Amino acid sequence: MQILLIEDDATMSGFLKEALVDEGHDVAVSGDGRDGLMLATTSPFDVLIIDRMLPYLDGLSVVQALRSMQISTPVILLTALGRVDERVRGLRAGADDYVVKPFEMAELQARIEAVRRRREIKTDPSQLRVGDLVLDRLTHSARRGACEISLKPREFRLLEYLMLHADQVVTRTMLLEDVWDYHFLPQTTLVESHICRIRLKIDRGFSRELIQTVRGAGYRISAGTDT
Amino acid sequence: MAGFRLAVLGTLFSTIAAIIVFALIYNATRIASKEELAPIIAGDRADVLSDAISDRLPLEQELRQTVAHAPSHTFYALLDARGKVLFANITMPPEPTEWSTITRLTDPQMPQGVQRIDGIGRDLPNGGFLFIGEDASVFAALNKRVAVIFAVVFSALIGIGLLASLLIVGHSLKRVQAISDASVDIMTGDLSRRIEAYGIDDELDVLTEELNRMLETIEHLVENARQVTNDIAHDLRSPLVRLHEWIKHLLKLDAVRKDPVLSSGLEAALSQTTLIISVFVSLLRLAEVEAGSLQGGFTALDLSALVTNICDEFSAVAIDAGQSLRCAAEENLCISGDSALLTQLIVNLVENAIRYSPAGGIINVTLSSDKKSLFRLEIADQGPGIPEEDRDRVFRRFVRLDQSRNTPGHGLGLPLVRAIAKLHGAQITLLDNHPGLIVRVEFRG
Repeated sequence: MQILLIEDDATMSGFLKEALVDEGHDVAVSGDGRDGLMLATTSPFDVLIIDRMLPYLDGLSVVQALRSMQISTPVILLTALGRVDERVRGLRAGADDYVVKPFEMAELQARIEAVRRRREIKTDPSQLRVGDLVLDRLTHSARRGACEISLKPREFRLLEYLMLHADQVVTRTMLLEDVWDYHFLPQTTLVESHICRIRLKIDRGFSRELIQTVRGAGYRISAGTDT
Repeated sequence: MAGFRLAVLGTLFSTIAAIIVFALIYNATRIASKEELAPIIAGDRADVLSDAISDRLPLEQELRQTVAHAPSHTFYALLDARGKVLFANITMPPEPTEWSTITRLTDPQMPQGVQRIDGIGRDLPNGGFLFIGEDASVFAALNKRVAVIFAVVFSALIGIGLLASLLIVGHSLKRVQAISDASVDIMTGDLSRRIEAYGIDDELDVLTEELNRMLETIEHLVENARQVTNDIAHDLRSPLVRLHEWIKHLLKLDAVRKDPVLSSGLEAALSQTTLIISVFVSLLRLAEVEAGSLQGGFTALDLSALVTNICDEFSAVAIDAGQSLRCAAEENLCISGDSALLTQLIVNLVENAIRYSPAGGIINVTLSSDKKSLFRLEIADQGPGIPEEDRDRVFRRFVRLDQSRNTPGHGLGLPLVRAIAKLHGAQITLLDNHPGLIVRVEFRG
């Protein structure tokens, strides 16, 4: 993937570039907002990763400028500010996602994957399908093979999110933010408890497990893996 | 009742002052009578003594004649050398050699029409003693009149004084009460509270002003201390994130991966920086809530639905911990608030209940309202509870009751809960669940 990283902190951008290259991306780096904006408007990128605080032109303004120029390249804002309203302001400015430093590379990688895919899926299907698991978003019902599965509202939302991101890793933080709308880390096994219940409902009794735990990163729903 | 006490005390002082004035006036009439009557008495004495000599009569007979012939305003009492009464038409006063006053009280035999006799006695050359008194009824009348006027004026004065002092004292006390009310507010944490001045520049207003200035300084200092903490958290964040990234980078190096000592040491360092950063994140979040700027994002929200939803979410967690989470929420209780923050408040309390309850424990979450539109949220667990003496302390930053620090958390959870509650005007109380803890949050509907 072609990625533009706009980050003024040389240490951070150095490590980040290295890690992104390790993941197999092509990475261009810019050290300030003005230069970064120019690069983003002149060359095609798949994803822009922009730090919130930048010299000359801050990250928020860069995003706003891009959107006003009808450039819709997915943007992930990085921030050291953990403020609640900062996130809302970032998304309102036109960013696709918002990641608070420090983060695990797996977290950023999962989100890069997610924002890029979100742009690719133009239609909003009424039915989601992963292998023999079918989720009907209109009737809120699920079926695996011939088996009807009853889901509670939260379980439905969780499964829907996993299936919308089929074959991608979704992290615990992504689930908390997008499924629960919790912007803090719970001190209990909230995510695990709910994943466990869905697993019992959709995977028990089937030879192929659809929901996989990706160590150190999160979960993935996929039909392609045998257990 | 303090006001009444002060008023009575004031009246008592003015009464004492009035009595002194009255005594002075009374004494003045006594001096006046002495100045007027003493020369007359001296003349009388000379007259009766010389008359007795010229009439060649013993003094007692001379007196008897004088009294018989002219029943005058003059009275006599004559003793011989041995103290025997030879003649008397009045009772001798107890100290006759001093200027004395005889009233009907001390001498009931006083003639009709006479109110008071003033006089003085002298030793005679033959060793006897002669007391002469003059009718001083005029002075008695004067005294009486003064007393009446005084009584009238004085009772009026006392009445007005008592009333006025009750009013003034009551008023002052109301202002003192206002100061005391403000102090209570300030002690419960509202450092921005000020005492209202009355605007008349009296001592209480001066005091109020001084107190307000003092509060200003204190608020400033506290604000400074908080600001310094927040600044540190804020400024150290970026270097810490960099440190974190450096450690992560080192952990990826082949040389490190092959060295178990180095890699486990770096893993430990990484987990410590993660911990520090999470403390700073919590600290900044707390500061953000405490600053109160989030109130702008308040919307009307259904507290009942919020509580029910969170209970639904966490009942799975409780079941996995071998506990039971029960929820009884009255429906449609709406308040104005920030739903993300209130969610965090409730989640925080429910998670605490789960974390501190033993397996098999029951956690009861209830939401109810009373007639005064006070919404009461209670989260009751069966954990170890919090001793009464620690219940205030646990809301302070970095206070953890578990000294061993084996349990996760850094003592910023409950301060955040309280800050969120305060932002929403809600009151938090910790109660005993016998056994366990009840956290009660009361919202104004």
